Amino acid sequence: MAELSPRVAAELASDIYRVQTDNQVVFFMSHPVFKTKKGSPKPAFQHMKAEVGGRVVLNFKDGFGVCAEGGDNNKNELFLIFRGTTTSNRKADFLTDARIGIKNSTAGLPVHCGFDHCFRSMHDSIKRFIASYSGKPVSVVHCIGHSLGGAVAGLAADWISRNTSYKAKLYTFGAPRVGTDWFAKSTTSSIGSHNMHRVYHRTDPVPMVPLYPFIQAPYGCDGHYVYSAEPLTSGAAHRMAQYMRSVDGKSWSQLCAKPEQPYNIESAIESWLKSKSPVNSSSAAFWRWVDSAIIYVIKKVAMAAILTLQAAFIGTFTVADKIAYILAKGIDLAENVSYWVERLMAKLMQALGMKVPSDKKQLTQQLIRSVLERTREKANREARNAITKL
Amino acid sequence: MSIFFKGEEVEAVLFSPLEGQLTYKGKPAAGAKIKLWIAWKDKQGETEYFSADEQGYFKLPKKTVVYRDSPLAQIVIVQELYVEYQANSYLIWSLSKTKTGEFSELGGKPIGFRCELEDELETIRTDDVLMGTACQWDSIEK
Repeated sequence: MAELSPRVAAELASDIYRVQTDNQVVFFMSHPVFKTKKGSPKPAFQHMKAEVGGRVVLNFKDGFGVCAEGGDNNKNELFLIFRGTTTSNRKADFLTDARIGIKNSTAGLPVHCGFDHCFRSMHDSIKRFIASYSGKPVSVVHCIGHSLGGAVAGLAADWISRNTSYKAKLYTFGAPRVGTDWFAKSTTSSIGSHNMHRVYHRTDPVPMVPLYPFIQAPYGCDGHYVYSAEPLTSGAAHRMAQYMRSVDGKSWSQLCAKPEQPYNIESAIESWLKSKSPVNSSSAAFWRWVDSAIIYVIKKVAMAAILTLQAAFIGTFTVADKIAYILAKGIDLAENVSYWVERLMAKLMQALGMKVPSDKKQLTQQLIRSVLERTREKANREARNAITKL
Repeated sequence: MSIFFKGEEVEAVLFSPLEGQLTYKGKPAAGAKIKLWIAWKDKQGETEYFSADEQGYFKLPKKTVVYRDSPLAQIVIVQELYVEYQANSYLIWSLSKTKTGEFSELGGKPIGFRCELEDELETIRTDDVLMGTACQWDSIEK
């Protein structure tokens, strides 16, 4: 089955940013994957209008993605290509929503409300586009995007794999996390991990957010991890132009460096939590440790308190509320559990420049909640500043 | 409070200086009206009008802006040139670019730039630019 090269997938994820007027959709279709011999009919395409951003920020209407049929060299292939945030719709940024919540996706799985909202606004158009091919031989639907566009592509590929008989192939660059581990596991088995190409730079902060319980798909895979030297705090490694340079001339198998540290090994997480060395919140490693540590400690509490995690995460409260509730429960449990909650809080408070309390009794649910809230805000600062400073 | 991801104030060239000749069916489009539309921070954008001289020659000035560059919001600059001539309107230039340098449109300064109003738009796509234009040029001065 046809698979796009990293370079071609990156070109499409990048070109879609430059589709800003109706005329330009036609120029976009000059890409070689859509080329047809003179005389044969031009491939069908549809310019989708999407609502970008949560309801709270702005209901900005914007041209946001293109559905298209492949040309002569990509016969029987369909393309769904999505765009990330631009300077003209920056107010609709996906991380600005102060209450990143969880919602059920079209497949009933827990995903990020903002991404889900964005996908749902385009859902009918995608459905109609796909339905117009019923009875025709379609071998694959390529779903492509950078940043927010990658998150939406992930939801689109998930929908294709569950609701059509077509194979979905997913290609994302610097995409944030779309859903919880329940979603990540389910979408991985539905699309198939070999059909999911997730490219991310070592120091791109976007794939590290939202923090737990959001995790990346494909589940249990490192994806296409690419070394980058730009400091995490500059966000420069997130740029699509940077991804273009990174993948140029490479095959998928050449884009498979191993992430450096063993963030998933329990003993490594424990020794990170125990270490008293100062924390550096502007390093990529710090955020990966935080994420692994939150998962580790929550699991410890949950096992001891017999809480069903996923059930606890769905509903009207924010994610921070729920994690705070679980961790606060952990404080009251036996020493072998509460110790880890204390160590996690100490690490986070250190990174936030807060005074670490001497007695665990002072770690109330309210305090834990505010520490988590502030940690998340720190991780999401880039987007916040993108709107408040401009 | 935080030093995180503030973005830097940088200059972006919204439109690089452009001069050339307009023709209609091979003859100078004398006194043709040129409408330049530029958008980058919102959908509305801004419009300015210029005129070609008796020989169809025109000169459009450089336009710049200082903005705060954040890696999370990709800057996309859109330019369109419409020419009004003998009660008809012709789109001769429609371009989107994600690079902000001077002459990033064509990768350099075009020499011998000319546009025939009746020509179809020809598509050009590079890693930074997507455009359709009815114009031609002899060379690009890097």
